[in-house]
Amino acid sequence: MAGASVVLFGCLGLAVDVGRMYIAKNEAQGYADAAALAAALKLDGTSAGVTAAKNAATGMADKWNFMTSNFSGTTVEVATSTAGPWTNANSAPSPATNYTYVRVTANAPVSLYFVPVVSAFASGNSPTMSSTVSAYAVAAQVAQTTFNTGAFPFSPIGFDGATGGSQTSATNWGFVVGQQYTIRYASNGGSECVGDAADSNHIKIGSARGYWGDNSSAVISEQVQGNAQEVSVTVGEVLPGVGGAKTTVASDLVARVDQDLNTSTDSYSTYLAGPHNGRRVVTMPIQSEVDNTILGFGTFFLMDDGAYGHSGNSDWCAIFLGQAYVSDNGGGSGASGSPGAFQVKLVQ
Amino acid sequence: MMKLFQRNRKSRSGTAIIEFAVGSGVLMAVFAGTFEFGYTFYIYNNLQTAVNNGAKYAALRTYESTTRTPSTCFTDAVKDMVVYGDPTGTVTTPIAPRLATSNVTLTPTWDSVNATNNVPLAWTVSVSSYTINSVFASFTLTNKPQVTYPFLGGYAPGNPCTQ
Repeated sequence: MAGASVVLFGCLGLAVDVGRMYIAKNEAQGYADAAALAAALKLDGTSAGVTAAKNAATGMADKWNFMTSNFSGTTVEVATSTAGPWTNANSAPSPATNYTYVRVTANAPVSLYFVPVVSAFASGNSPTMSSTVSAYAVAAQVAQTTFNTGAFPFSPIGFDGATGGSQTSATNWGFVVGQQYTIRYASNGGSECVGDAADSNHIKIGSARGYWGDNSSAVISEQVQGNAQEVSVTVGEVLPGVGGAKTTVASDLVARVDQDLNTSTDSYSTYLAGPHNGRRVVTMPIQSEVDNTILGFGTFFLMDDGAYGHSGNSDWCAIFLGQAYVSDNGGGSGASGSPGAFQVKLVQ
Repeated sequence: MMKLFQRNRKSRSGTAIIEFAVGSGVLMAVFAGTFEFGYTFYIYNNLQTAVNNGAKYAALRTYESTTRTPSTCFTDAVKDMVVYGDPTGTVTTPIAPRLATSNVTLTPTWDSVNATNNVPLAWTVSVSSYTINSVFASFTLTNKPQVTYPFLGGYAPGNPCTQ
């Protein structure tokens, strides 16, 4: 009789208690994944960013126990690599540069009803009446070195040559954050954009005017809108540059700028302070002024909608922003000390 | 007459029948309960996984509507992802019996400060009006399971949508 009831309670325990634990694990994993991603989006290399990340993670509304109980003892930790060491976000590191990894651990204390009966029988001790199910997720800002989709069909020239031109800085490929650089050169040669106007290496070379990818204006138009990217580009390979003025693309640039909520300012801080949706923020490959290889992917801010002249002789400029999240909804600045576009994704 | 009583007093067949009647009632209830909860939890766990996947998919997908109302193509893709585990609508076997796209609710979170910003901040996916029928009892789910993901995708208003 005793043996039979142990077996019976064992079956009930498997069905009810273990079943609930499996569900709690699944609920906790969903929460941890979402919270880690939300947190990683907030990291920007400052202690305030770490605090914002923690608040974003703990502010997620998902619950466990069939959507009735909040997770308990949720911890948010940050690190500079998946290997750690992990620092609790409650005591944010300072400086927080390169803290690009977030680990969120969620706990669900599942109360047990039938398993304790069996364990009391088996051990003779008073059983534990609950079991804590926990799940963790690690999300990070991961540098993106290949673009199969979403890259803007222009490529500003970096300052990486031996002669260096006017700027030789090793950071940000020589670009200065907030400065204007040429994305398309005028048919008569050099640049008139403020950031590289004085640089003799930053001129139209042969037929190459700054475009890359497909030679068709129609395809370039689609790429400006973010609909298509026919050629994949990777850091280190020679940029597949194409020639031609492709003057009609000016209309596409203006259309893209006009999809944003602020179409007039050329100051990124003013832009961020007011209504905006990120349509003016684009990611472009940076090409070497020496051999046209792709040095990295930089994020740029398109000029106001009156700045793109519909003539083969107009320079088209864009403002360098440094690092940013590749999805173009804007505002993110990234926590890594090295420049380049990044993706936010789960890594563990 | 005495013989009859004496014979009956020795016989235990009657108590066995009563014991069996009482015992099997309890046993059946326990077995039914085990199945009921086991099956319900199994289906709920599948739904939880499906909702996780659907919310993750919605969060990564490019938002191409020009307004705060997502395109039918977008919502269909996400709902198909939840119900069939495939956003293109080519798979037609739901992950739980009789689960339909009408049971899936897709709710965006918007920028509350700026009413003209049509980029979603997060996507919440939940299951509603779905009944888990475990023979001995049935449970109807309202807004559960539910999962919210932060928006990670691109924003491209007016771009074509392919499911």
